[in-house]
Amino acid sequence: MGNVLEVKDLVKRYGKLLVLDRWNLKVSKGERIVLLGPSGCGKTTFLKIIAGLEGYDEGELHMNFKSLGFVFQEPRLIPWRTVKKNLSFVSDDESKIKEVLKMVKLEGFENHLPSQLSGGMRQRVNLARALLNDPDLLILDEPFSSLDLPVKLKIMDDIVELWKESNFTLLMVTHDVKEAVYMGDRILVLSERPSRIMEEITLEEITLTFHGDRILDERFLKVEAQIIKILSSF
Amino acid sequence: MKTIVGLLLLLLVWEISALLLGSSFILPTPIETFKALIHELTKIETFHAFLSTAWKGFFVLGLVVLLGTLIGLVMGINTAIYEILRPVVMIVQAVPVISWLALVIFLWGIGWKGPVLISFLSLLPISIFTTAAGVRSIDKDLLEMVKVYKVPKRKVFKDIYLGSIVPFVVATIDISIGNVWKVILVSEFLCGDEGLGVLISWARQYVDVPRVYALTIIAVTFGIISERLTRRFVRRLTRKWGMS
Amino acid sequence: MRRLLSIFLVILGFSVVFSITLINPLGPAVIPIVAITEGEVKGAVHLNVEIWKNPEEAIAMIASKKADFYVLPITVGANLYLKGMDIVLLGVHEWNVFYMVISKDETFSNWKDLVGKEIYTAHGRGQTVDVLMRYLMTEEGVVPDKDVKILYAPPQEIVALFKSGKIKFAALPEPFVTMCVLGGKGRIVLDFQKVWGDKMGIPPRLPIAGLFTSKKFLKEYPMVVEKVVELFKNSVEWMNKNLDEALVPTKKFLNIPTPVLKESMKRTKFYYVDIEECEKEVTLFLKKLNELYPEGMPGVPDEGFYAR
Repeated sequence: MGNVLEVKDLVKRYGKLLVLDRWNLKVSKGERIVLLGPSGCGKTTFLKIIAGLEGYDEGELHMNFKSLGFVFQEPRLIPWRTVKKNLSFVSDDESKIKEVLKMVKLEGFENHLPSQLSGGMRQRVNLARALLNDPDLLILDEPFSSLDLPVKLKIMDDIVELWKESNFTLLMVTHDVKEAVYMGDRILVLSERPSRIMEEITLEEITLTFHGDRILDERFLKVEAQIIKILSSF
Repeated sequence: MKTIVGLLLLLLVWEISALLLGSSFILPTPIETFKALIHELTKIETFHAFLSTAWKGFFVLGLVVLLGTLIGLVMGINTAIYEILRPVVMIVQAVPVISWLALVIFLWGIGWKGPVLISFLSLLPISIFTTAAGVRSIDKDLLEMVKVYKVPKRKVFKDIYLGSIVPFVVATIDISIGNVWKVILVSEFLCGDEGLGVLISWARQYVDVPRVYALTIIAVTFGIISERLTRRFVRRLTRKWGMS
Repeated sequence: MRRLLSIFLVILGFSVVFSITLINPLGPAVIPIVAITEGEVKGAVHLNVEIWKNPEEAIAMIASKKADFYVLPITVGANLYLKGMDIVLLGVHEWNVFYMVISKDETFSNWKDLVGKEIYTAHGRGQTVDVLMRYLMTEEGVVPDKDVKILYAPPQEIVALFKSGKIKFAALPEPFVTMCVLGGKGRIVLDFQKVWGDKMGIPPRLPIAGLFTSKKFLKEYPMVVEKVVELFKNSVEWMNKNLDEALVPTKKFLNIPTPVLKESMKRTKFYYVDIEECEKEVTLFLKKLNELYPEGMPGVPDEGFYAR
């Protein structure tokens, strides 16, 4: 099957609290899926289920990917280990490490300690680590929330470039509409907790433009407005 | 400079207090004490006693750090073990030195084992609790990250657990080196066969108060020096491993 | 009439203002002064008795002038005198107290029997029995510390270790000696007083403890001193005549069961000897201690130490 992920009537509870209310979605290979929803609605929980950190209570979940990369909201680097050593947690392959550092534009920083890097650089290491295993599925959990706008834009561009080259499936979660429209080709709008998938917006018609152009593109702004309307109707 | 002023002030207060109390049996003057100190330092007996106290102290320190870290690590990783052992460790921590004395004398009579055991039991609980606290405070986010990437347990233990507890082991050493001499001296005083504590107990028998103070000065000086040196050594070690 | 009244008031005032404090160690040495505390003997002066538990306490009381008369070990008194304290020995009242005990499965005929073994003694290096023991060993060609291991511990612990069979040899003062052997765990094999007497050619007794006061007090109130000494002497005699009665109030002070205490009194000799009659013995004793272990007795007190 071409589906990396198939979710049927998925339900997740924490004790009595219902978090995910009957999710249904299919993700095919090479897609860029964004789950857009308010904070606390349960989207991170869904990612944790995919990553194997949590279980679920009802429904079906079929996962069809070999390797997974997870870009966390915070860099989550070991403070007393160098960049290289941090990456070696996932793979010891020196050439691979060099490669991913190149991908994230951090060549030459192997022997730096996290404390010696800026916030944006640390997030790039986070990304590099996720790319080490040639992931079929790259998961991003609100990875840009702690970054300044220019830094954010740069990284978003770089990720999309990488996606173009390697064609992994991208699954991202965010509460920021601009980020969603920028990164995704299919946006799933979520309600508040207990969350359900309320709307689905496909952006196939919008061709990919980069380096900040997309933000000013009329079609981009139109989709943004559309989504905002949907969100305010909840 | 400020240290010297501080010391001079101390000497002044001492001299005045001694004169006010008026009896060298209660508080000898700095000069009397100094004379006794010089006399002590010329004796080979003092040197042997000093070595005896010193090796016991460092031995206990090593044991406390080693076993404390080990037990603390296990307790920190496993909550069930933590709950079971915590009351035991708390009780051990609360028992005063004097209560160990009867047990220890009964086991080994007078010797080196008593002071070593008593000092060890006095200092071990802090080491255990500090390490356990350290392990429990390990960044949960990091632990989640290694779960996602299915990092082998050995690597997690070595790089995350051990790395996380280094500041706590350093703290343990800092605390223990400060306290070990006091405990060793007291336990030597009570049930040792040699060491500075034993010399102090004998001096007390002969009512040689200046000698008691002189021996105390030797012990205190050694304590401060060893504290400084140990701290510097430990800092250098952890810096080498890039962990400070 | 008025003259009589005023004399009476003066004497009354005198005795009220002039309350004298005597300090006494805790332990069997309490028994000789029980007669004073319980009012069995009375004197022309009112004596207030305070108990000291350790030498520091005694010294503090003396140095702060709270005490006028002090019952102290002779060695402690001598040490204080040598260190410049204003102290003078009036008389010795405790004479026999040190013995050696061995466990029932050991034998002892001379010090050579201890070679390769351990012996425990109370408190620390330089105590009277420690010094004597080392002297006696050396006289028989046994090297202390090398041939025989000598260990120091609190006497109560030594009793516990001895009774549990953990240690086999001990040199102790009464009543710890009795506490060790009562119950059949061991027996007494050596009377240190006898051996000392034999070696020195003097009566088998050691000056253990005595009555002291300050030279100043003696100079200013010689009559009072005389009265106190008389009172003290009577108290000791009363104890010797009425031992069972004397033991009753000791329950207040001591944790030792009365039968044990009574048994130990067989070997503990209390009788008061004025210093004029025993000065030579005391000097001989202190001289020997100084010779054998100057660390413990840094000198020999001159005649100023002895009351005239």
